[in-house]
Amino acid sequence: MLLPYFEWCENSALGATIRDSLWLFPVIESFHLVAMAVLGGTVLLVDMRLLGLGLSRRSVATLARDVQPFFVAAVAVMLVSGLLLFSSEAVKCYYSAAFWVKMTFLAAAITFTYSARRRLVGADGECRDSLYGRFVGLTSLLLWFGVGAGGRWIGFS
Amino acid sequence: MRIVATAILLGVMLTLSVRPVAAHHAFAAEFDAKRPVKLEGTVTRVQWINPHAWIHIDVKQANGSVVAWMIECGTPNVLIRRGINKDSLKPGTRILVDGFQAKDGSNKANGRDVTLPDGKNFFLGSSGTGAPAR
Amino acid sequence: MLAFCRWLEATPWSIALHESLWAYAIIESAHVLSLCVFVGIAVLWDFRLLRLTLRDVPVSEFLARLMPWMVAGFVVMVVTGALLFFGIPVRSYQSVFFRAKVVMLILAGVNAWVFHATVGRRVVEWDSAPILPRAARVAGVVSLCLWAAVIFSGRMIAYNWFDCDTPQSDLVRTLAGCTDDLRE
Repeated sequence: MLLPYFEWCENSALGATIRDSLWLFPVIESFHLVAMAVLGGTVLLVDMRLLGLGLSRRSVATLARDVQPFFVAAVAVMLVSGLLLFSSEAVKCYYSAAFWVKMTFLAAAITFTYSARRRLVGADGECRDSLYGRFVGLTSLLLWFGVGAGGRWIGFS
Repeated sequence: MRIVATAILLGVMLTLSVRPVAAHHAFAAEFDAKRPVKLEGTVTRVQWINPHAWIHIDVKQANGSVVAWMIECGTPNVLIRRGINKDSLKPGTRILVDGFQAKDGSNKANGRDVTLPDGKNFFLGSSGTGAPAR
Repeated sequence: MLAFCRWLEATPWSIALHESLWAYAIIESAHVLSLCVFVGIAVLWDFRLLRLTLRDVPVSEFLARLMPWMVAGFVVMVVTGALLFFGIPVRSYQSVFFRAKVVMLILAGVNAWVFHATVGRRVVEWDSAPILPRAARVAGVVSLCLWAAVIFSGRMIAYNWFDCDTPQSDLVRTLAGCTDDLRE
């Protein structure tokens, strides 16, 4: 169903340029990884706080607000670099189970971050150490972990 | 609710996954889809290693000289799932390899499939970018 | 050193690792994903030194609360990284990118040591200061650059443009320590 779209991506000028270059793919990949580290750091800091770890003396809302710009920037870099990488090998991705696992986790992680998690960390109330807070922190961590692991596995299986 | 939906979607996606492909790194950074090669030669050595297995073959040219080629394959895991193991390609075996040559023009190729003397054909698991699906 | 790497590569455990079906892939994934823990927090730490984020959190509190996590992440990275090297010693040793990465890692270590040995020792004096000491800011910037460079060179190790098994320029052959004896 989606295959024609994937083929179109792969045959686009963008995809072809990246594919024909020796250096572009690895360099974009490195940017993708650097952004992953930043994204991971911002997610960890807040989720760890929700679990009562790390900077547990600070309010969740303050931490979340402080790291938000870096989270957004990291997601932006990841999406752009990810799309570039994808366009150069879209058809391979179509046939890769790991790619679909990653996309599913990504959709779930972003939806979760901007719905339940945002409602929780945005309210500067006392979600400190509540069971629900821990649940949200853990779920967020697991979803993002799924994205990362799925991404790494595109290269393997 | 959302989690249930995610789980279902995940299940569907996993079932949909058709044919596994493999590449540790991008095919296109090293190999050229516009340079398909067909190599008939004798196995000299197999490096059964992660993240890529390598088959070394000696290819006899029309003028009688012998050129050594290195064929990049998928991971050992991928090859075993396709039916090739460490002992399938003993030194001396004559094989036919379909693949794509390295961009730098050296005698390295990304293997797409291999045909053994008994006619059996195996996918080598390096269908990265540009290496079209069969 | 090359002889040592060749000996290492022939040990049963190294063979088991580079011929493994799952171990290698799992170790590599752990290595990459623990980037989030170690480099992720280190980047926030550097941003804190530049006062780009978490300004209300005193530097000493950040360090006290998050250092254990950074150390844990770092240990995972080093252990998995060592295992990856152990699985493929010769090629890694003769990889210009691997060599560059090791140099960057050493520099990052020196930078961290200099920070903690000098300006970091007096952290109580500038814990919540509106302007952090120049030395602290410099350490932050240097650390950011070095870790980014480590990630770049680490990623490039997978690519074999400069491997010794193909003809290379004299410069690359020197940098990679290629030898003429093709033992294998």
